[in-house]
Formats: sequence, structure tokens, C-alpha cells
Amino acid sequence: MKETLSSLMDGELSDKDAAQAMHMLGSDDQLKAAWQEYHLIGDALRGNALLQVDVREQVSQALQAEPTVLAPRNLVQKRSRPVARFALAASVAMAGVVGWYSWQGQQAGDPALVAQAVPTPGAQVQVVNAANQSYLDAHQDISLSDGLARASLVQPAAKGLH
Amino acid sequence: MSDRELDQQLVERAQRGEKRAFDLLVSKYQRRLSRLLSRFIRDSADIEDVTQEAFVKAYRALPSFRGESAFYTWLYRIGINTAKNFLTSAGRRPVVSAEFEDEDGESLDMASQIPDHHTPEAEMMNQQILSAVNAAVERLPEELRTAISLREMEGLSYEEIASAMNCPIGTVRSRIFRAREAIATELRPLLDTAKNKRW
Repeated sequence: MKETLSSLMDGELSDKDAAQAMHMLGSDDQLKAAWQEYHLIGDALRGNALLQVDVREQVSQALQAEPTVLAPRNLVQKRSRPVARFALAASVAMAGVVGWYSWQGQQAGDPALVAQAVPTPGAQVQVVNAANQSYLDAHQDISLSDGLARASLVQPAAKGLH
Repeated sequence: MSDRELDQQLVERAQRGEKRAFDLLVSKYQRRLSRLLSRFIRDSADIEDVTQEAFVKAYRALPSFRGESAFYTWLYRIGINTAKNFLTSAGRRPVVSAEFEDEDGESLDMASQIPDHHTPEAEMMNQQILSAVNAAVERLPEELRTAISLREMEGLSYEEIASAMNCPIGTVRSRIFRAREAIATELRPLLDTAKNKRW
């Protein structure tokens, strides 16, 4: 097992074997001691460490007083799953549709303003003052071709409000 | 699985509540981190205290670690900030203040041309371990010595070492392990003594 640990340190195990080795490492004191010794040897050979420093025990004791870290799952996973993203987008879209219909229903009862929109690409919300309705009536044919087509769709309701 | 991926795996285990996984990261990086901190803090006891505090802060900050940088780079930044705070609260100036401006943990770690400031006792302990390791390496059979040197000092992969030594990867794996075990066996009495002395 120590040979596997040695390979683990060097990044020379497959993901599956590495996961298994890390699991063993977490519960075997002898392996943990070897992990410490092997890293100490590496640090000594590279000459870039204070070899006598050992704060494992102090850190371990300090961490016992700390609440256990439990990172949200999405922080642990690097990539969000496409299904989750689709579900989120669908929820937002649904909320928008429901909100729109709700808002539209409220506006229908306002005698001063008539607001309407058409669910087509590039559609614009037209807020029309009832006083200008005659102008729109007169130019209905023109407006059909330049993006004001939606005005005609509310005509019956608007007229009824006059 | 590369070294960085291994660290990431340990971090993710710690993020899921496995404190033992974080212990392994402490074992791995404590000496390098303390070496870095010794660039700014003169007293050996203070270096240990700040090293310990940096690890505790890193543990608390684990939920925010997303693996966008290497774990050691992230850890070193925490170490530098901890050292800054320590020196500010103690009303002291860093040994090498300019180094604080460098945010790259790796380059900080490689600033080995800067003289060390340790107590004679700490320096003696350091030298004893270093001498023991070097002596053990010298006594290794040549093929083990070459394999461990190419791995630890040159950073070669097993495949590259196999190519350089003209042998199978499995043999490289075995030689490196045997070298480590041989060195560790010679080192243990010294480390046991050190543990009793509470270095």
C-alpha cells in the first residue's frame, strides 16, 4: 500500500486508484506517517522548506474547535449540469410569462391607458393615450407595416372605453 | 491524476467535511509555507504560529475555494495576508517588504536567494534533517538514487524517468518507492527525537 501512496504523491495513479488510495490514507495512521515522511524527504531534496516545522498537531487541534466545512455542492463541482441550467432557464421563462399575463390583466381595467403587446420577435409594448386613439384609427393601414400593428388589436377594447 | 488534481481532490474531500483530507494538505505544504513566511518573519516561533494560523484561515475559507488557481497558490496568498496582519498587529516591519507585492505564490516560493533568518537552534535542526536525508540518498544504490533524484529534484514524470533510465514504468515506480522507504527508515530516529523535543 505504501508503494501506491508513493505513486499517489507523484500524481501517477488513475483517478479511480487515487480515490481509493486517498480513502485508505484517511483512515490509516501508518500511511499518514509515510505521507508526512515522503513529503519531508521531497522538501529536503528540493531545499525549499523549513524542515523542522511541524504544525500538524496544532492545526488539527485548532480545527477541532472549528465547525465542519460543508461547501455547497455547486462550489465543489466545476461544471454545472446542462439539465440544471435548462431547468433554471425554463423557470425564469415561466415566471416571466405568468407575470406578463398578470400585469396585462391589471392594465385592461385602466380607463386612461391601453397597453398591449404582441408575442412576436421584436414586439414592442405600445402605451396609447385614449385621446390619441383617433389618430391611430386614421393611420391603421400604415401602422400595420411599421411595427405599430399591435395598435389595431386593442381597438375594440379601447373604443369601448371612450 | 496530476499533483494539482490530487490537491483538488483533497480540497473537495475537505469541503465535504473530511477534516482528515485537510490534514494531508497541512502535512504536504507546512514546510514550504513556513519557508515562505520566513522571508517576512524573523522569529522561528512566530513563523510556526503564523503558519498554523494561515492553515486555520485556509480551512475556514475552503467553501470559497473553487479551484481556479492551484491550492498552494491560494494557500500562499492566505499565508502572506496572515503574515501582513501579524506584522501590523505586532508593529513590526517585514524582513523583506517588497515581496509582499508579489501575488504569485510560486514565484514567492522560489525566492530562495533571500537569506534566511532563523534562530541557531532552528537552523541546526534544519541542517540535521537535511544532512540525514542527503546521507541516506548517498547510500542508496545508484538506480534508486537516480530515480528519486529525477523525480524529486527534476520533477520528471514516471514515463520520462523510464525513458531516461531505459526501464519499464513499473520499475521506476518501485525504485522511487524503495528509495523513499530507505531514506525514511534512516530519518525516523531523528524525527522521533525531534518529536520528543517538540521542534
